[in-house]
Amino acid sequence: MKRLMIVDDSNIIRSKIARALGEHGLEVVGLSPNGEDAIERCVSARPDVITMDITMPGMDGIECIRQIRRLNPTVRILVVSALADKATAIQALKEGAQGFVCKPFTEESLNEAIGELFSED
Amino acid sequence: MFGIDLGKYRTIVISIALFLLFDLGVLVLNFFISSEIASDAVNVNLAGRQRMLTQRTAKLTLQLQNRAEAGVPQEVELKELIGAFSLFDRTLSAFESGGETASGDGKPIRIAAVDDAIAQSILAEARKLWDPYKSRISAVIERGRADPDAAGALVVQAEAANLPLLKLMNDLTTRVEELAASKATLLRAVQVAGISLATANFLIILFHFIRHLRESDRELERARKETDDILRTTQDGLFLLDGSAVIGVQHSAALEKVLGTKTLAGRSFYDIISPAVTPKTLDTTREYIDLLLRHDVKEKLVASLNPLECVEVSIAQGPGEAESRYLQFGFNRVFESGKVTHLLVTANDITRRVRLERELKASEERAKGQMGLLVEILQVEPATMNQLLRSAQEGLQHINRQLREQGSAREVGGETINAIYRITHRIKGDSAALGLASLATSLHSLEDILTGLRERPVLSGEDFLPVTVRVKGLFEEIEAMHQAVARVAQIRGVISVEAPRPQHDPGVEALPFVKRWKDFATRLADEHARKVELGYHGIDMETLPESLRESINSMVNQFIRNSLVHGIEDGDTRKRRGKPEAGRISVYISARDDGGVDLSFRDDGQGISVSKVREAAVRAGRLTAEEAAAMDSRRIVGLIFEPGLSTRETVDEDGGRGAGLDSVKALVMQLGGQIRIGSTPGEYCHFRLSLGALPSLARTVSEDEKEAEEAAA
Amino acid sequence: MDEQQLRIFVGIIQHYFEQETGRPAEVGSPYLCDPSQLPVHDFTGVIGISGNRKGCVYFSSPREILREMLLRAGESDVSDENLADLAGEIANTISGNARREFGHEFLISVPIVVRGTHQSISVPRDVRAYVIPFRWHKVDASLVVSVM
Repeated sequence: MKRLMIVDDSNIIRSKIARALGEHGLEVVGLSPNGEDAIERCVSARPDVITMDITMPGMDGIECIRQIRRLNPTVRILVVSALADKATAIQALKEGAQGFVCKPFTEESLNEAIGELFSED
Repeated sequence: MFGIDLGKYRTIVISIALFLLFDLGVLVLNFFISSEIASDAVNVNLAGRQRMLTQRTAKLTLQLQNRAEAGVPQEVELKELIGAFSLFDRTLSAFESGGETASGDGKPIRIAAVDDAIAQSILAEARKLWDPYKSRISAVIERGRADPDAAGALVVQAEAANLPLLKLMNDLTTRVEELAASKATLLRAVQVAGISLATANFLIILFHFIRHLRESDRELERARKETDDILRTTQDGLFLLDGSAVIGVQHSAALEKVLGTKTLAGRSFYDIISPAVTPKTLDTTREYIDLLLRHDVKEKLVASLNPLECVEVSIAQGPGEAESRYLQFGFNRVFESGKVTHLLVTANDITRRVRLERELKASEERAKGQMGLLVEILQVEPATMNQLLRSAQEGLQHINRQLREQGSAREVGGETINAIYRITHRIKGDSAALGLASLATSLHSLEDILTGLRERPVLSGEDFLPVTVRVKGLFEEIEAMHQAVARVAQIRGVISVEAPRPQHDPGVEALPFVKRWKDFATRLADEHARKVELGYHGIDMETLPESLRESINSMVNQFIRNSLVHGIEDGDTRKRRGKPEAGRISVYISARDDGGVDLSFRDDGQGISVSKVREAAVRAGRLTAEEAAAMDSRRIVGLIFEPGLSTRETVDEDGGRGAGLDSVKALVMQLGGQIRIGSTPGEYCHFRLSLGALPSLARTVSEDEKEAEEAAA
Repeated sequence: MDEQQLRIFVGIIQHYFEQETGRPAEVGSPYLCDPSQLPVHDFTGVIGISGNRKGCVYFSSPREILREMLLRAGESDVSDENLADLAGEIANTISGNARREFGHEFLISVPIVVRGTHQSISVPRDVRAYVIPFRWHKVDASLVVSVM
C-alpha cells in the first residue's frame, strides 16, 4: 500500500484529498499545514507520494519540493494548487514534482493524476 | 572487432587490412629472395674463378717443367702454383660443404654449401679428379723444388685432369647461374602474385562499395525528396529546435507565412517570438523549453503548460492600422538513443478558429444576457418601460453634461457628485420598482463609487474616470433594453400577450355616460378643427357609488379636454405622422377585487413634451431655469398636475389657464390613489389611475417604489 | 476599454508632460461624447487599435501648447512642420508606452498626424467615445478614446 502525505494549509483541502485518495488504496501517513512541517514530517513518515500545495504561509511549495527532493529523491510529488499561471507549474516540475492538479479539483481528476504518477510511460 | 563497433565500415576496414597484408608478404618474400639472389651471384663469380684456376694451374705445371729441365731457379712459378692451387682447393671445399675462401679482391668470404643435387654431383666428380692431382702438386710443394722427373709426372697428371676439370667447373658455373636465374623467376612470380591479389582486392572494394554507396545515396536522395515534399506542401509551420533553442536549417515552407519572416534557419527561437509576446510569456517559454529538453517530465503532462498555445501577434498594415493574428505553437521531443536532442515544433495560424470561438462565446453571452433582460422586460408594461428607459437615458445624459461641464478644472466640487448621485439614485429607484434587477444593480455599483468619491477631501478630474466608464456601461445597457423592448413590442403586435381584456360588450358604448363623453369630445374636436373617436371598454359606471361616479366623470372630462387641447394633432400633422386622420381616445374602467377602481385614459396624440412643460414651469415662475434643467423628465411630466401650469401660451376657455389636470390630482388625492403617466412624444399619452387604493396596499410598497410613485403623483 | 486601460493612457500623457516640461498636465473629468461632436484641435496624433476591439485613440492639442513645449525645449523654430512633428512625437510615445503596458491585449498601430480641425478623423460610429480633457499652460487639449 502506497504511503501518502498531504501538504496543504487548508484543513478542508487536506481532508478532501485524504478522503479522495484514502478510498483508493493510499494510506495517509502525514498531514502538514505548511512546508516546514512537511520537511520535518517527511523523514519519519517515509511517504511514497506527496500532494503539495504551492501557496502556503511561510515556505512556499516550490521551495518545499526542492528540500524534500534532497531528503528523499524517490518520493513522487503531485502539486495540488490553484496555480494561477503556467510558469509556476513549470517551476514545480523542474524542482522535481511529477504531476499537478489544479484547484478546484474533482476526486476523479486527483485519482487519475496519482495513477499517472506511477505509470511507466 | 577490437572491441570497437565498426558498423557499416567493417568490410572496408577488413579489405584495407588484407591489402596491407598482401603488400607486407610480398615485401618480406622480396627481401628474402633478393638476399638469396645476391649470394648466388657470389657463387657464380667463384665458380667462374675455379674455371680460370684450373687453366692457370695447368699452365704453371708446364712452366715449372721447363724451368726444371733448363735447371734455372723456379721459386716464382712455384709460389704462384701454391697460390692458385690452394685457392682452388679452398673454394672447392667451400662449395662442397660450406666454408671460408677468398673473394675476388682477396678478402675472406664465407659461403654456404651449394644446396643443389646436380651441382653436388659435379663437385663430387671434380673431387675425384682433383684429389690425385692435388697430392702430386702437394708432393712438389713439400720438397720446395721440382726435378725434371717430378715435373714431368706432374705435367702428365695435369694434362690428364685439366680438360675434364675445366669442363666440370664450366658445368658448375652454368648450374649455379641456372639456380640464380630460377630464383629471380620466383621473385617475379611472387611480385606478380602479390600485386594481382592487391589489385583484385582493390577491385572488390571498388565494386562492392561503390554499389553500396550508390544504393545508400539513392536511399538518402529518396528520403531527402520525401522530406522536401513534406516540408514544401504541409500547411503547418514545422521546424526543429536544438538544445539551445536555435532553429534548424530545414523548415516547412508554410512556416515563413505563419511567422511572417523569411530568414529563420540558425536564428534563436526566442528572438523570433519576443516581439510578439509579453516578457513574462517569453520567460515562461524559456522555462518550458528548458523543461522539455532537460528534465525527465512526461510529455503528456507538460503539454497543458505550453505557454504558446495561443499567441496574438500584430501584423502592421500601414500607418494607423494593424491586423492581429493568433498563432499556436506545439512542441514534441525528438529522441536519439533515449536522449532528447531536439524539439519538433509546429506553428499554426489559428486566427479563424479563435475568432469563431470568440464570436460564438460573445453571442452566447449576449443571448444569455438578453434572455434575462427579456424576462425582466416582459414583466413590465411596454409604455411604463419606455418611459423609464427614456427617463434613465435623460438622467445619464444629464450626468454626462455634469462631467463635461467641469472640463479640465483641477478640483471638482462635491456638488457635482451630489447631483450625479441624486440622478443615479432616482433611476435606481425607478428600475427597482419595476423589477429591473440588473439595471438596478449596475446603478447601485455607480452609487458605491460616488459614495467613495464623496468621502475624499480633494478630487481631481481623473477620479471621475470610473464614473464615466460606468455611465458608458449604463448607456449601453439601456440601449440594449430599448432594443429588447422594441422586439417585445413587435412580438406583441403579432400575438397578444397582454392580459386578456374583458369581453368587449358593444352595449357599453351606448351607456348614457359614454354617450356624454363622446358628445363632449366631438364638440371640442369641432371647436379645435380636429376629428376624434372615443371608445369605451369596461364596467357600467352605474354600479359604482355615486360620489365615485361623479369624480370619475369629472376626471374623464378633464382628460378629454386635455387631449383635444394638447394631444390630438390636426389632420395634416396626423397624416404626416402616419396616423389615421381621426384621433383615437380609449377609456377603460375596471373594478378591482379590493373595491377600488382603475381608470385608464389614452389618446394617440402628440404626447407630453417634456421641454414644453419645463419651459412652462419656468414661465409660471414655479422653477428657476437651473432647477428646471436639473429636474429629470419624470418629475417635469408630473408638473402637469400642478396648479397654474399650462403649456399653452395663450389662455382660452379650454386650456391655458393652467387649471384642469390639477383638479384631477386633487380628486385622486381625495379618493386615495395613484396616477401613472405614460407618454411617447409624437405617439401617445396614457394616464392610469388607481382609485380608492387601499391604505394597506400603499404601505406594502417598498421605499424605492414609493419614491418612484411620488415622482408621478 | 475598462477603467484601468484608460488610466494607462492618462498616465502616459501625464508622464510625458511631466518629463518633457517639468510641469504636469491637469486632468479634467472624463466624459462621453458622440462621434460627431468629438473635440479636435489644431494637431492630432491618431493611433489605430485592433485586436479584440477596434477603434482609435487620439491626442489632440491646440497649437499654443505645442508651441510652448517647443520653446521650452529650446527649439525656436515653431513652424507648423515642427508642431506637427511634436504632435506625432507625442502620439508615438503614447503608442510605444501603450504597447509595453498592454502587451498583445491590444494591437496598437503606428500613429499618424492629422492637421487642422476640418480633416475628419475616422472613429468608430455608433460608439460613445471617452473624452479626457487635459489642461496645460492654461490651454485645453483632449485625449479621445473610441474603441468598440
